Amino acid sequence: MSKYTPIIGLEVHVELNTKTKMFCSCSAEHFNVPPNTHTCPTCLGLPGALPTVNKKASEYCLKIGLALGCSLLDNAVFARKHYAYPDLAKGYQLTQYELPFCVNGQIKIGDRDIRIKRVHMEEDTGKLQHGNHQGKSASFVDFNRSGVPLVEIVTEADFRSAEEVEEYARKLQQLMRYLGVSSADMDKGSMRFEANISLIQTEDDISNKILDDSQLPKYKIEVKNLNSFKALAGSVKHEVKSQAEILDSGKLPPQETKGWDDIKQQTYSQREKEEAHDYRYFPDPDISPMNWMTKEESRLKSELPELPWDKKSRYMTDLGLSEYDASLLIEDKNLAKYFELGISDCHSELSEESQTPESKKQIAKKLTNWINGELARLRNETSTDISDVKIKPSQILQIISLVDSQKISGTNAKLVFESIFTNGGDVDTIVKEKGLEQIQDTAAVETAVKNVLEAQPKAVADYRAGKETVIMFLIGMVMKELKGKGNTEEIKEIIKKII
Amino acid sequence: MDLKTQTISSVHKAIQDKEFSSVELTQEYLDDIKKFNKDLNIYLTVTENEAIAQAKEVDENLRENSNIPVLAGVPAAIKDIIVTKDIRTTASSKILENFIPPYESTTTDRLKKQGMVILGKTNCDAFAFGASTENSGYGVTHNPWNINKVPGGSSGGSAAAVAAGLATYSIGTDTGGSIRQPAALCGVVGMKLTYGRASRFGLIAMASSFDTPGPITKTVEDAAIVTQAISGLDPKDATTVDLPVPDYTKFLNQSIKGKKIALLGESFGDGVEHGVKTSIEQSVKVLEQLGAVVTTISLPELQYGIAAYYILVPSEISSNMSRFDGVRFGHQSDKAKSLFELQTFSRGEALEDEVKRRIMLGNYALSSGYYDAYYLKAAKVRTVIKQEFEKTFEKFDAIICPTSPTVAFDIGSKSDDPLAMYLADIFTCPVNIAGIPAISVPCGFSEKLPVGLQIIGKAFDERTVFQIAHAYEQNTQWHTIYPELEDK
Repeated sequence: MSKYTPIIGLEVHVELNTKTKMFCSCSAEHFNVPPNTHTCPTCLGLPGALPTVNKKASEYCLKIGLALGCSLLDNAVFARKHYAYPDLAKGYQLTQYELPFCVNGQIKIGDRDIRIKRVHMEEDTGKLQHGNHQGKSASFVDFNRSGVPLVEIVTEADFRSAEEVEEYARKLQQLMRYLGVSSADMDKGSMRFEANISLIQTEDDISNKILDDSQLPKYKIEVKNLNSFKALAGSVKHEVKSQAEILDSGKLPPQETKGWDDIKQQTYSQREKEEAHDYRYFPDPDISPMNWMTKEESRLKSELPELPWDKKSRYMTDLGLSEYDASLLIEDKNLAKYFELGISDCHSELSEESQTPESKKQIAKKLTNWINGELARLRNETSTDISDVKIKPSQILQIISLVDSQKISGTNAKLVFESIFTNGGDVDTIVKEKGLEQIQDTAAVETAVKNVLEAQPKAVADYRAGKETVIMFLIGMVMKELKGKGNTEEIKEIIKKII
Repeated sequence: MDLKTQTISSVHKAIQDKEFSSVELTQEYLDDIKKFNKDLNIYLTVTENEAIAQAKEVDENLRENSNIPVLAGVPAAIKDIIVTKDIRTTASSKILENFIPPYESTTTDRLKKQGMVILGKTNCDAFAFGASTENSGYGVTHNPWNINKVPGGSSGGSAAAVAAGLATYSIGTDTGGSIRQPAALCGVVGMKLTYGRASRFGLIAMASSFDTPGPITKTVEDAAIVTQAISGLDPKDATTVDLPVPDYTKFLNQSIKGKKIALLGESFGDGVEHGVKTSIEQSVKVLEQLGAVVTTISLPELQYGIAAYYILVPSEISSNMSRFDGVRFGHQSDKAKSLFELQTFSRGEALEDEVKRRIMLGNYALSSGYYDAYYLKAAKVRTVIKQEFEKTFEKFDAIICPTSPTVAFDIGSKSDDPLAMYLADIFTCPVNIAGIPAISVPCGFSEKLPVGLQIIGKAFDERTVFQIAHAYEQNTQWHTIYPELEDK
C-alpha cells in the first residue's frame, strides 16, 4: 500500500453546440471553416463593439448545473479576466468569477459523491497558428473560435485515483450528450480537461473522506490541455508516481503548471513568461448583472431529459437488468432510446393481463440480450451508428416471439436478424423465403436422426461408452440434415430415446 | 449667411422653405472649415465628399416629399471617438491614426437615418481622457472665444465647432463632464443623457459604466431634438433601457412655475472663480423670476466623487485599453521581434502619456491585494453618491450648480498638473457616478469667457431638465452672443 493518497480536482471545459457565439450573432462553427470568416466587430474586439448575452447558451449552462445537482444563484455576473495574448481579442476574457450561474452540486462516482464547486459560463479564445509568410516564419490568428460559448465545470479536490477521474470524465461526456448541449468530442477540442494533483501523506485511510481546504496539501500541480481520457488518466498516474518520488526524497514538489506529452506518456513543465498571473478581475460593465435564472429554474428542470444515471438505476430496478447490461444500454442516449422504443412497443402489443412485472422483465432481458449481443457485434463489425441501424426494435421483438413459440430455432433467429440488419426487410417474409420455419413433423425429425445415427457409428459408440458430450455433435449433424429447421431440444430427446 | 447663428430648427425651416438647399449650406460650412480649421484645430478629418453626397440626397428627397425629418440636411460634426463606417476614426490617439472602421455606431446610424450631413470628425483628448483636448495625439483645439485658451474637454472639438459656427450641432461623449464642461467653456449647450438612455455601441469605450453620447448645440430646443433622435433601446448595447422616448420638444414651453430647484451650496466654495459664482447667483434670480422655488442645499458626500471617479474610471479604462495591442488594427510596431514585443512596443510607441497614466492607475487599483481597498471601496462610494442624489430628488425637481469651477484656462497652464486638471470635473463627474442626466447652458461671462449653468435631473427625466433649461435660456440673451473669428 502506498503511504500517499492522491488529492485531485478537475476543471472541465465544454464547448456548447449553440448556433451562434456567446456575445455576438456570428456562427459558432469553427472546425474546418476558412480562417476569420465567422467574425464581427464584437468577437474581433474592435473599438466600440459591445457584447450581448446568448440566452440559449446561458440556459445550456444552467441545465448542466441543474443536472449536476447545483443551486442557481439569484444574481450572476460576468467578469473580465485580463491577460495579454494575441488570440485574446479584447485583452480580457468574459467569464464568471465571484457570481457564477451554478454552485454546489455533486455527482456519484463509484459509491462516493464528488462535490461540484461551480459550473460557469465563459467564452473561448481565437487560435494561434505558426507558419510562413513571404518566406519568413510568422504567426497567424484565426478568430473564428473567439467568443464561442464554453462552460467550465469545476470540482472540489475529491478524487483519489486516476480511475475515479476517468469515470467522472466519461460520465460528464455522457451527460453533455444526453443534455444535447455539446458534442463533447475531444478530438475536436469540444471537451478539455485540467487536473490539479497533489499527494497527502497520512496514517489514516482518507480515500473516502472529504477534506476541507485547510487539510489539503501545501502545493498543487496543474496539468493543462488534456484532450483525451487516456491523457487525463495517464497524467494523473504519472504525476502520482513522480510526486511520490520527490516527497520520498524529503522535498516538496514545486508548484507549477504542466502539460502532457502523448508520445512519452509523461507530464512536462510548461515554462511561463509571467510567473504569477494577476488577472485583475472586475465585473464587466457592458453586461448588467443577470437575475432571471431562478425564475426560470422550474421550467429548465422540466426540460431536462432523464439523466443517464437515473436511467441506469431504473433499468436495474424496474426492468431487472444487470448493472453490466444497463451500463451498456445507457452509454449512448440513442441506444437507450432504441431499447426503450422496444420496451414501449412490446407493452402496446402485450395484453393487459400478461403485463406482469415478471413478464416485463423477461422481455426486457431478451431484448437486452439481442441489443448487447448480436446487434452490438454487427454494429461493431460494420461500424454502424445506432441511428443508422435498419432493424427495428419491434422486429427484434417479433424474432423473440418466433423463438419463444418454437417457430424458428435460435440459430435461424440469428440468420433472420443479420439479414434484416444488413438488407432490411420484414421478419415473416425472410423466414418464409429462406424456409426457416422449424419442422413441426416429428416423424421427419426421427428419420433424420436415424440417418445420422447410421452414418456415425463411432460417435454413437462413444456416447454409449459414456462420452455424453458427443450428443452435441450429433444434434449438430441432425440440424444440418434438417437445414437448421429442427428444434434442438426435440432432437436431443429423440437421439436419447433411440440410443 | 452667418453660420454662427444657425440652429437645427432655423436650418430645417430654411431648407424646407427652400430659402437655401442643404448642399448650399453644407458648402458654406466646408468653406468656413477650410478658412478657420487651421488655427482652431477642430476637425481631424473633414468628410467633404460624404457631406455633399448626403446633402444632395436630402435636397433630392425634398423635391418629392414636402416634409423631411427635422435633422435632414443639417450639417453636424462627430467627436472622433465615435465609430463611423468607412470614415477614419482615431479617438484622437496615434494608435488609431489609420483606423477605418468597417461598422457604424448606433448614434451615427440613427442620425444618418434622419438625414444627417456629416461634416467631419472632431478633435478630443486621446480616448476622451482629459478636460482640455491638450491630451490629443493631434494637437490642442483652440477656444473660439480666445485662441490662447483651451476649449475644455474631452469633447473640445465638438463644442468649439458649434461655438465657431463650423457645424450646426455636434455629437460628443460624456464620461465625467466631457460634453458639459467644453460646452460651458465654449458658450454652447451640452446635454449629458441618463446612462442607458442612448446606445454606447460604437463609442470607443473610455469607462463603460459612465460613458454616454449626447448633443452639443446652440439651443436647448436643438439639444432636445438630437436627444430624441439618438435615444432608445439598442439590441447591440445590453445596458440600454427599454423605456419610451418622449417628444422632448413638446414640453419645452411649459411653465416652470412652482418647480423646486436645489442650489448646490458647494457652488460658492473654494476653487470656484468669482465670475462663475456671480453668474450662478444671477441665474438663480432668473429662475426665481420664472416662478421656480430655489433652495440652497449641501451634498457633502459629493466631495468624494472625484476620488471615487478617479479609481473607477481608470480601472475600466485600463481594461478597455487592453484591446489596443497592435494585432488586429491600429499602429503596429515594426521593431518587435516577438509576440510579446509586438504588443508592448505597439502600445508603448503610440499611446499618449495621459493614456499610459490612466492604464497604470487602473491596473494598480484592480490588482490583487489592492482591489478591495480601491475598486471595491470606490464602488461603495458610488452607491452612496447615487443614494444621495435619489434622496435629493425626492424633494426637488432639479439641482443646479456651475458646470465648471472656472472659465476656459490658458493652453498649457494645467497640462503638467494632472490633479489640477482632474478638478475641472468636480461638478460634473458626480453626475456620471450617479448615471443621471444634466445639461450645461450658457449663463454669463467672466473675463470675456463664457460660464455654464449645470441643471441636473433625476434618472430618465431629461424632460424636466430640458424644460427648466429652455425656460432659463428663453429669458436670457447668453445664447445669442457669438465669438468673433479672426480670418487670417
